[in-house]
Amino acid sequence: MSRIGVFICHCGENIGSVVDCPRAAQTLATHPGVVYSTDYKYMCSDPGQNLIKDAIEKHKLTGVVVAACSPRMHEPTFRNAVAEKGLNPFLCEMANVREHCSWVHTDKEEATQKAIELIRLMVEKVKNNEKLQPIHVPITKRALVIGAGIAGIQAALDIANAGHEVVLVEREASVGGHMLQLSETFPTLDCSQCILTPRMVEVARHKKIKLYTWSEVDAVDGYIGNFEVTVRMKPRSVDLAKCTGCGSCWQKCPSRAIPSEFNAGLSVPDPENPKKRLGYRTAIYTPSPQAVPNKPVIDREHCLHFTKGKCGVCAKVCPTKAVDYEQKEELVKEKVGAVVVATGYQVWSVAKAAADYPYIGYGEYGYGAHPDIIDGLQFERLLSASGPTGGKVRRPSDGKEPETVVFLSCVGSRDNEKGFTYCSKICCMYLAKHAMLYKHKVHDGQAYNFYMDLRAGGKTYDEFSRRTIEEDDCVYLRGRVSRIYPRDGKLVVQGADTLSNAQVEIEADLVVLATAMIAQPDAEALAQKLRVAYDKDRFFSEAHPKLRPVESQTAGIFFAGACQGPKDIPEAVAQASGAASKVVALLNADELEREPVVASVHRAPPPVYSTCFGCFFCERICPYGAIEREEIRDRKGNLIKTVAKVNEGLCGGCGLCAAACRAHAITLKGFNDEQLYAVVNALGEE
Amino acid sequence: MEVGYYPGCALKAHATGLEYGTSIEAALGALGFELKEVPDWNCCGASAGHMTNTALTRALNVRNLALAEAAGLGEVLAPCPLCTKELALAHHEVKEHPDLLAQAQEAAEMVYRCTVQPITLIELLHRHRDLIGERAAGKLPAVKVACYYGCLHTRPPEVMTFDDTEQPTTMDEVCRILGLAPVEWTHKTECCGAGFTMSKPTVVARLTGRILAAASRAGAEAFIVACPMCHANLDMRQGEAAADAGLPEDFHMPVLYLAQVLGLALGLEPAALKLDNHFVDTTDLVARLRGETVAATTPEGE
Repeated sequence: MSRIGVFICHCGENIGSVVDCPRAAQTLATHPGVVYSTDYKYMCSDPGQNLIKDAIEKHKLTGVVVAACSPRMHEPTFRNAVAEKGLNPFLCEMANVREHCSWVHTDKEEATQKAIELIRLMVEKVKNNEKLQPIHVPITKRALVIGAGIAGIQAALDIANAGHEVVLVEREASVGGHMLQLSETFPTLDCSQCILTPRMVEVARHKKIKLYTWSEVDAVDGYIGNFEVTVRMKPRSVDLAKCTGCGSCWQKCPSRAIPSEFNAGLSVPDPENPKKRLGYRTAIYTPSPQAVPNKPVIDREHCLHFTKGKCGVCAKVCPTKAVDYEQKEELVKEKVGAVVVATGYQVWSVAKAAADYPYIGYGEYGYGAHPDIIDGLQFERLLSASGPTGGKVRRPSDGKEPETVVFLSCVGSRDNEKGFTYCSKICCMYLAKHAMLYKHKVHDGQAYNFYMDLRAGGKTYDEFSRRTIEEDDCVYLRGRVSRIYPRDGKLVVQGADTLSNAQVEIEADLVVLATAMIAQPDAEALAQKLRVAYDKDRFFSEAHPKLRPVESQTAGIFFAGACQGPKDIPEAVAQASGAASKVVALLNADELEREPVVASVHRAPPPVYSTCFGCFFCERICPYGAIEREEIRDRKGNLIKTVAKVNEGLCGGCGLCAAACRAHAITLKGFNDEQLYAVVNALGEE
Repeated sequence: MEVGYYPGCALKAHATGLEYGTSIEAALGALGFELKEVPDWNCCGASAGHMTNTALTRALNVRNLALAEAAGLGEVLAPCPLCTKELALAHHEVKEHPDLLAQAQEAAEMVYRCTVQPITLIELLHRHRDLIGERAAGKLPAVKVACYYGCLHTRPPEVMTFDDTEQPTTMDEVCRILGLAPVEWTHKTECCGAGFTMSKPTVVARLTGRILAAASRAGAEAFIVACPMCHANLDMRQGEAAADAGLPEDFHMPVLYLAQVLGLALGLEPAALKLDNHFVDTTDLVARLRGETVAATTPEGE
């Protein structure tokens, strides 16, 4: 005979102000099988939990129902409490009388009735609950980090320095990401490359880090503690083991006018030779002078050997015979226990339209139509010592030093009509930095900045942007620009100054658009591979916006950096270290305890073996890929039948298979038919 | 081919855009279209109506749409973009909001089932560009023209969706088929000042002046337009506007309607297209477009 205890929580005013908790407790006390029923102001508090523990001892309870908030909130609290008194934690259930009752109702009488009914249903369920034992899963003590920008590098180093192996996968030919492209960083004007390159070198040399560059993650199978990752190594056409990085190949490569990704497509006329432009790359190239590994890759779309079947100069000049035109794509499997996603962002190219890049806007700004209208990342390249001009500010059209530069904030950010609703967060600060650095390099130049609001939240950020205005005389104009067009060798910027309520027309030599920071174009595809959620702007969604900011909804997968939302460098690094500490905590355990709420397929002794008849409908609908096939054989080894089997490590406990099984051969533990019938039958009983 | 026709106030009788209406009827007729005028149509509520009473404007347009629907017209050509915008906006709003539909139907005392699609002349011609290609490809010389769309053809963007809001290209495409050489320029959709031409002509002079200057910088020899308001400002106010923009005193850039160049390409007579009705003289340009040699005239000779 069941001996159930019922504990009703007021949750302060949350439940108590709508549901008459003492009356509900009295009513439940008379319910068959209930031997103890009480209410308390905060059941999750220590005294509240002690109330439950004492009652288990005193009344020899065989089951507990806590009527309180959602089980998502406090189920672990109460299950741990009952476990302390030796009761199997799965004999404790919660009735949600807050989210499902008091928060959504106002009529006290009806809400109390509903609460009583909800509690009664759970009492009937608990009477049929079974003792379940947690599942123990072994953990592969290695981590995968996807993306080797600053966030990925930081996460990989932190995990590796804590003693765990890391597989770091980067799709470009070098690690470093966007940070390597930047000139100096706000608010301290640290040289971006100088602070980044030591980390890049460290990540490549670290004994615990296995680095894949020019590679992508093709598939992630498995589950927390036991992921199997397929890494696709794209053909680099250069044997990394033989290549010494001497540079003979790209110095001799005849294809010399290819826009460089590292220079964000920017090129500037060569002052020595007006017919030549600086900033291009060759077909065999290392992405940047500080590339890690500092070894080239062949861009097969532009290489004459691949496009025309001619040439072969690089193979001829290579002293170590490292160039390999025949190199094929390779798939490698890696086993890991945890995954950090650090795939970063892109700068919105408002002028670029492509099949896989549906975003285009701001035709009135002429970006892409005029060479002297550039984006923020391109201006970084103009300022950078490793850029096309060696850090001199020059116009892309004619190589002249611009006397007037206009900066535009929020091109695509905070623009519901034409771009994205969100704030890209970094632009106010980097435009302040741009204007300041421009003034440092061109002393008699004049910078203007059109802005919507100046957002400088961050340690010493506001002081920095004030410096741009007060010391470097950048004119800040609050308002939007309606059109930019060329006139007599200048760019006319037509806009509004909403503070003085005037129309403004500025003749500029160079215009810089702070285009929005957007998610990677293939973020959706990656999210689907990883089974993690993403938001309307394709940034990955964290498990909880405040309390679980680095975790995904999928156990064992964590986020770092701008793939989760616009971030500056310090924030990306902080999040990366946070994700790394989560991974280290996970990998430090020898095995993982999982909730035993999983499906199981019927098994019986001969001659039945199993009521499963092997239709494998369950296999098709399981979202976790947890259904396996098991062959049942007799003692002589003859195959009797093939039946379904649940991989408990993969099973997410959703119950789809149990509902779909035509033979009723699948049961979801903790939610079996008897339990659910008991709940349904209790509905409407008085 | 049958197409509904809503001429609106600007294209009829003694109105500003009489040349536009006349040339549309002539050119589309020559192309093989049969224009079915919406019976008993009323004002679209432009300028005065939509600024003061949106419900009234919506009802006026729902009445027009309901009349077209009752006449069995699926598509209605409204060559004035302000008409198209008012009609399309009303259609868009009542389709999305049953309460607005009910209100407009009650005021108009008619039932509207939301089956009529109002379209602009540019959209119609662009859609039938293959037909134009068959009939008139390359019939005109490569005169450099600035296709000026004005503010309304692509706005509001959620309703006027046939082309890019800021850098439209469909009119350029049609002109290119005819043989003209549309220039790349910067002020395709800038405001001409529109109705301020009556109340604040100085504003119009400034705004239209910028458009003249931009077209002239791009090397254009003529404007092609598809809006009676744009035409009025570019044509009638050209002198003041050119002066405001600091253009030379003898600045002179003919402003032709899209239907007029289409008509010329189809071999129609200039008089049938009312090409002699503009303020800025079109004689030389029309002669060039018709492939006639222009007698060299010098100012001294006159």
